[in-house]
Amino acid sequence: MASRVQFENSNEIGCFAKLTNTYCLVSSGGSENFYSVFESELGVHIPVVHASLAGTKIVGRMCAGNKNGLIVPMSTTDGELMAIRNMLPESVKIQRVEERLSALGNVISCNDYVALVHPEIDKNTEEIIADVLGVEVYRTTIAGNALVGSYSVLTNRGGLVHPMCSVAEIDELSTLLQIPLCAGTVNRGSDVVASGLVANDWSAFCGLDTTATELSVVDAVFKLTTAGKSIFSAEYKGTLIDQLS
Amino acid sequence: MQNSRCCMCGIMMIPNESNTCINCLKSSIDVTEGITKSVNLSHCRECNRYLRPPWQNCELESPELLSLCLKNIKGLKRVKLIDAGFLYTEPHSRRLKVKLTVQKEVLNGTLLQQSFIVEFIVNNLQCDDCKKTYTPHTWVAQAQIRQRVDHKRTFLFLEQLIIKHNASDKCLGIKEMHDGLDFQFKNRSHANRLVDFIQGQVPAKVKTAKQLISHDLRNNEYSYKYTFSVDIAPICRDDLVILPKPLSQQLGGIGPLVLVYKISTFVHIVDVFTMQTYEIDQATYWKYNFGALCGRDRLTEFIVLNIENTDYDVNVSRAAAKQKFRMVQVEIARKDDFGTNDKTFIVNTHLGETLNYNDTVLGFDLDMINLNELEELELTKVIPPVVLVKKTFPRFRKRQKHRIWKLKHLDKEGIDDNNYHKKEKNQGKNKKDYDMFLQDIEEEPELRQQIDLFRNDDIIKQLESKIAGLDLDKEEEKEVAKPKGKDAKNDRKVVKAARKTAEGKKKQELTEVEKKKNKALIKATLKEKNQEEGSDWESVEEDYQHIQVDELKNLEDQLAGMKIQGEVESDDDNGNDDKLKETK
Repeated sequence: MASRVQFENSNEIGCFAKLTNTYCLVSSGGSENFYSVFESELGVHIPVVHASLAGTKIVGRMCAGNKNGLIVPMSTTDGELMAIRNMLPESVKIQRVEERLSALGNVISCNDYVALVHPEIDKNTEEIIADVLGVEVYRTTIAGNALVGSYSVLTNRGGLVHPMCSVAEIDELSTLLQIPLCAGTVNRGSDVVASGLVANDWSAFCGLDTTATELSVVDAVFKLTTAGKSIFSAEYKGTLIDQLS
Repeated sequence: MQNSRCCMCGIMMIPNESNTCINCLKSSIDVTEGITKSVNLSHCRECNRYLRPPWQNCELESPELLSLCLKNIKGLKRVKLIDAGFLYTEPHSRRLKVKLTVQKEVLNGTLLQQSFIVEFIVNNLQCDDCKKTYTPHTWVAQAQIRQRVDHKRTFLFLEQLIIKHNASDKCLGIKEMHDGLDFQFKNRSHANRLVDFIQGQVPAKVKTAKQLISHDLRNNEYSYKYTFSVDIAPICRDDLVILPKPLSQQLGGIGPLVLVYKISTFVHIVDVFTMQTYEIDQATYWKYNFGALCGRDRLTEFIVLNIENTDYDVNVSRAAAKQKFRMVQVEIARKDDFGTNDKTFIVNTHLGETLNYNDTVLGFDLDMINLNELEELELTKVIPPVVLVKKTFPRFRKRQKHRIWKLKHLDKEGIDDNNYHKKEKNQGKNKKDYDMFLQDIEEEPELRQQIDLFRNDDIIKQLESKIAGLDLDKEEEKEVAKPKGKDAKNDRKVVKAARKTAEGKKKQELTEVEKKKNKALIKATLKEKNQEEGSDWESVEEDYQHIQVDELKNLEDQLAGMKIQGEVESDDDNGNDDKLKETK
């Protein structure tokens, strides 16, 4: 079940955290409350690391990564790089890339096997992504938006995409990724799903504004609940309608 | 395409900007926010007006009131108004309910529509104009119209002129005074307008005065009360006048005994000796400022016994040609003398065009009237024993109840007379003056042209019910059988000519119907009178039957020519056609 969390009164937690199956980056210098939510949920399994990239707090938007590696922009300082290197497991490769589209989190969206990237990303960067993250790279757009990293959240079990995605587009992406996809929103109707949600194969965190309905969609698509316990299953439907009417 | 879920309720829906379904949007966003739901309206119960502002007259549930209500709702500019209408409320509840439907764009391209009710509470508030009418001394200018004579004839006429030309529309109040009327106004130019109007109708002299009420030296502001004193010449139609000697000389030796036959901005006079006419302009009049020797109340009735044309005709004036005066010599006898003595007078008169054998005519019986001025005049000039003034129709005098027209009146404030007997006397006199005025309207086409008459529907209905009882065809035959002489011949010619064209035929039919109707109206009134004083009618009028027919015909013509204003316009047209043909 996904948890709701807020970073300093902001619901855009996807900007301030990066979650993969082997590590979790959270921005440093913020309230400890934000960090402790991640720590309590993930601490026993993976390292939760305080980090900053290029002197900013928006670590989630600046980098892209999966269980195999982490890609950071060229503007990342050596100190920051060292700090992250020290805290992350040995198996995770870290690589700086020279890329014009430096908010890598916005232009790359990946799970452990496949990455969707911005259509205009550099050829070198594409190669680095394939090498470091160990993924197949596809240039694509989501619902007409080139910022694939902003409008989709992918794990190995499923993915959430922009609500305006057509059925055909979802079908196509889902064939590429070989995982089920779902159109949805977070933070009470916000369509920038990656900024309101971070997820890995067994856990997810959403902004505090996210409604129960959205949460249940997230749970269903990332398979975070015990089987068939979605609120959209037949047994819940009656009570749901009762509550709404 | 339904592929996303509403973020609030989770139903599948077409994705939109807010990713929320319409129902959830409606429940979460209130379009009517910021629009007042309860509004106070100010209403003046004296004049039934609402404050928009300014004060506006409107009926309940009228479009005007709706627009006024909408104007008073705050916050309506932020939304698009789709529909508005009144819900029924009890008039005494002093509440108005307006149901509004509004639209507002809540997100990019998403319009939300919502209906709601606004309640208006009607509060009483006296409006400025009503406040003014209750406060004395609010006027700034007043016009005091005076005529120093002992009758109200001129003022009755002026009242009708003022109504017709709407000259008193800016007036705050009208007060009746002993010798005339006071008109009060909000500012000076309004009073000036009325004064100018009156000066354009009758010979009048204006004096202006102002009184300082307050002043502010710093701003050089002064507030005054202005008074216009309008003095109307104390001379009326049908007055006998002795011209002052210098004036008589100035006008080429006219008079000095003259008869006033018309008053406009000029005083129109006719010499009773030579039948020469003259117009005296205002400046000349006020220079000599003469009054009347004797007025209409001194007129007596005479019967024309004989008429002779005179060769002597000095009718050279322009006005004379217009007036169609013709000098004739008539032999007359006092009506009162009939049956007692055989005294007759032979006099010259200017009424040659209108007089007929056996007519009744009004004149000043100078033999019987004792006047000092006349005696003085008698020393130098020979004066006629009788001055004839105008023809009269005594038999139609008693018909006053049945006038098919009526007049409008100004809203006047009466004189506060403490003396009861005086008041009673004045009222009686005023009523007499008014009756005489109505009679004048009937007898003088020139007067009728100047004023507005209105249909008296009650009387017309009464008469029509009486016509239904009469046998029209029978009466018609009788009418045709009567010899009409030359006039009838002419009439027939015109009729024949008109029938030649198809259009003429139609018109003819219409006019026939109209004529019948008019005749029937008159007959009904005659019959009525007949029943009232039956025996009298039979015995006295037997000898004068042909006179009666003549008079009937005259009156008929008058009625046909009379322009009565009312709803039925076609009536008027036919009436005018009738007259047209007769003049041909």
